[in-house]
Amino acid sequence: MSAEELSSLLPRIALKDRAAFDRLYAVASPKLFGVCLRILSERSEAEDALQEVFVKIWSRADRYAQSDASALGWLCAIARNHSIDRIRARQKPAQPIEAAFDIADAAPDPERQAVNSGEGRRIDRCMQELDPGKADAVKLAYVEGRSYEELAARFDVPLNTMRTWLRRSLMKLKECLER
Amino acid sequence: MSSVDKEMMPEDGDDLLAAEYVLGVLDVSARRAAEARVADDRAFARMVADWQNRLSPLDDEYATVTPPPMVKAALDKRLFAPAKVQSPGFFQSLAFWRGLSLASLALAAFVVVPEVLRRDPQIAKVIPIVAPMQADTGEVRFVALYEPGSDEIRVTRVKAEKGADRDYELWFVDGGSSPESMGVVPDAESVTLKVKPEIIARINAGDAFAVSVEPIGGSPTGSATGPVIAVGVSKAI
Repeated sequence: MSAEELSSLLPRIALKDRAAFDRLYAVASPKLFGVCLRILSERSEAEDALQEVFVKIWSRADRYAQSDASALGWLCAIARNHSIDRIRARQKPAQPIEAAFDIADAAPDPERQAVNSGEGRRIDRCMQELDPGKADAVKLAYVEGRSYEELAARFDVPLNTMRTWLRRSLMKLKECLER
Repeated sequence: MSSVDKEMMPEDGDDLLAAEYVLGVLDVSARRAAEARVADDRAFARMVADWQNRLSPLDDEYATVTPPPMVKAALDKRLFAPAKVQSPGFFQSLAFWRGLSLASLALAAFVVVPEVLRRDPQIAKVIPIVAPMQADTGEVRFVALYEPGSDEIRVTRVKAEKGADRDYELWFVDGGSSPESMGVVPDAESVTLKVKPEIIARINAGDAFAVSVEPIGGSPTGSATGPVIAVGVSKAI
């Protein structure tokens, strides 16, 4: 899957081109299913979520043309936002992180790493500038969609402390990425 | 109030909220409130987009997992299953579609074109086809009508709005290839567009028509660059 191919498919999908939609599903669904699974943990719920995510892609593809995001970043954002909405709506604590679905140790997608290695290195360097525990909290929040409450429990600090950690870390990250 | 809160300038508040939204740590009501602001606050939407771009390299952490085939099957059924057949009659009348005007706006808003014939390669050579193009909300915004033997498409604007510095552009999508422009749609209630013979030859029931909003003169790139405001699949009538 090349970035060019993905970004060429979305404008066609905006015009309800089914062949383009089928192709996008073929190339992007494994990554987006990976996103849903990592955040939701439960396979059947991740399957439902993936279906909703592609319904959204079908109906909102025209909005991609107006954004400056990478196509894969835009697609992952839809999958993350939908999955996070689902776990927030459950209104009960998610599974402990250790018990999460067993793909947690799977290697990151090498193709994606190759595509975005420049960006990847920069964010890694900036994450390293944060205190180790705080970098872990930022990563868990983003990758697994953990709430402030869950992170506070996980790191055994008061909620306000966690909020302060993350806010300060985000501003440091921004400053570093824009350096 | 902690020292960190005091350190942060007031204008940091929106940027922090955008960052927290993208990071995903907010609760349901705060997420909804942030999304509402994205919809009608350009500056805030820009902050969210910037944070999205900053943090998206973390997407590398997600492994790829192939979903089971039944997910795609369920998705196709949900998005593409034929609409339920409505009672035929009035809406199958060519006179109705030809005369479609603002006066019939109230009717057109409820139109569901019955699927009377299955897709057939020759159908549009003998039977007119019509494509009501709808917004996401289901509201009919434009209707395209093609009559056999003609080299024109009639486009009726039922209900649509655009800026004065924009044009409507009509697109034809027959599944196998990339969407093709059928040209800029003049801003009038009902217009006819002359269509290239090679596209006329391909027009058929089951093809999709769409209208996007483009810069004056139409898309500079050959594919839609602005929002697609109406889409519909054509049916024989």
